Amino acid sequence: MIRRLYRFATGVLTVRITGRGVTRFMNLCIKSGIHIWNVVCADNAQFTFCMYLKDLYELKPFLRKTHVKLRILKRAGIPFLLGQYRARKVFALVIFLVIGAVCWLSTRVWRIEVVGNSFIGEDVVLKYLKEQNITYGSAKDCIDNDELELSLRQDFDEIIWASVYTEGTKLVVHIQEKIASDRPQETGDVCMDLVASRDAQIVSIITRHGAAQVVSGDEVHAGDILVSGRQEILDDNGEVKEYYYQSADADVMGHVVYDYEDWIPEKLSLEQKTGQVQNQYYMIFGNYQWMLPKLYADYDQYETLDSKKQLCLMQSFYLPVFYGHITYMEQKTVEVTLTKDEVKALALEHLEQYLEDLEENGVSIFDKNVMIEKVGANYHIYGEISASESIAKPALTEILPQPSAAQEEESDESE
Amino acid sequence: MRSHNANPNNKKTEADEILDLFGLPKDLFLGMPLLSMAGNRSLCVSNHRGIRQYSSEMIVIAAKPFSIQITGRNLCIPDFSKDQVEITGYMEGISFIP
Repeated sequence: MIRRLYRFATGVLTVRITGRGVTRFMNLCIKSGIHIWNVVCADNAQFTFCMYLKDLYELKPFLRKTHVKLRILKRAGIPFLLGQYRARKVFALVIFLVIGAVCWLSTRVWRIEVVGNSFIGEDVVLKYLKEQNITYGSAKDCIDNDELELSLRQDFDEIIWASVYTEGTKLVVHIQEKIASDRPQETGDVCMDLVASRDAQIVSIITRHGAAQVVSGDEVHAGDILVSGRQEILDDNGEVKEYYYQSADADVMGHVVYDYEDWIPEKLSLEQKTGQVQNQYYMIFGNYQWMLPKLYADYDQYETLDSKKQLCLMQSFYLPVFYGHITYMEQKTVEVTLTKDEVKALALEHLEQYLEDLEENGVSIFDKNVMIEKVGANYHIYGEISASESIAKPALTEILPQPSAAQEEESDESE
Repeated sequence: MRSHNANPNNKKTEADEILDLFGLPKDLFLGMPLLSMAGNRSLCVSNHRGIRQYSSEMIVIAAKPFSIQITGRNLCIPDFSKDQVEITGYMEGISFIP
């Protein structure tokens, strides 16, 4: 490959020699250090071979000596290309400028991808990188990947692992976040109770730390203590000898009732698409944007959809050039009077969405009882949803004086 | 070196004996050709002295004490320089001509 490139750079000639002394001619060439290759014999008095352009002028004395005739069959290489494009200097200049621009662009970062984030937003990471002087157009050499990985781990508590690497002109920030724990976080020296977050009936309680104050089947109200962080140590007489404090930890499931309410008007204003669509194409280079004019007049009401792409050569050579088009979709507002069946279907859709949201938050639905009735020009949907969910939330434990200390104080006073 | 050619009893010359004694390579000190082959499809000859004859069936390469005659089919020379000559094709025989 390197030899081929060298040959292309220096210029190669394919020549044909004819005459009686062709072998002698070749031997003379070789002895004087001329390199020839791809020697093909047509007959005893005719050969073709390849040679470097620079050796051509050294052949003259050998041609005369051996009475061999030489004819150039093919020319290849940069010297011939330069000769060919001598008259097109601007073209050659543009080619060199383009090559230079590509070389410069390849040393910069033109795309930043954040991978593996779920709690930390991409904009937060990008803002952080900007504070570290790493943004679009930063030189790749100035980015210390190891240092950036370390600073990401140090500055974000949620990040437990980070990997920063470049692929072409793309900077990839791969992070791994901590898995969020359902258990209450350690509060240090502060002792915590678990209290009811809402009115409920206890379904089950599994206590790991603390003294349970409720049992399955108990009715509790919001704020009631479910598991106390304060535990009483009794003496032989059954009196409190000492209080022992340790933050409560338990899984408390309660049966709760959600009130559901929804209003759907009989007449609805709906945005309907007319099917008329037009595209407006644009291109962005750095801070400059070029936009082609629209072909048709603006719609009165429309919805837009922007599809933007970054120019990428091969797999990962991204360039600071964006292109795309904005799609304008015409809309019109129409008044629709819903029938009862249509209202039912819409109400069911809203209810299912509501239940889905509840289930996503860890609520198990037991039962649902929803009614629909027409109130004037609206439909009223209401009902109750029975569910089971974790109702424990941490709250500060009330610290009481130790009984022994209280007795000492009493005895002091009596004395 | 003429004495090397004129050695009817195939006896070792003085130069041969000295080189054998010190274990020195003959291609370097006597200018003998060095042949390296890859099967019968490729042959590389170093220390050559040019081509005597060349056709697609036979190539004769001049070397210091003798010439090397290569016979075969579709013989060609993909590389020919002062140091070595490379021959490719379907080689059927190699003989040394005094």
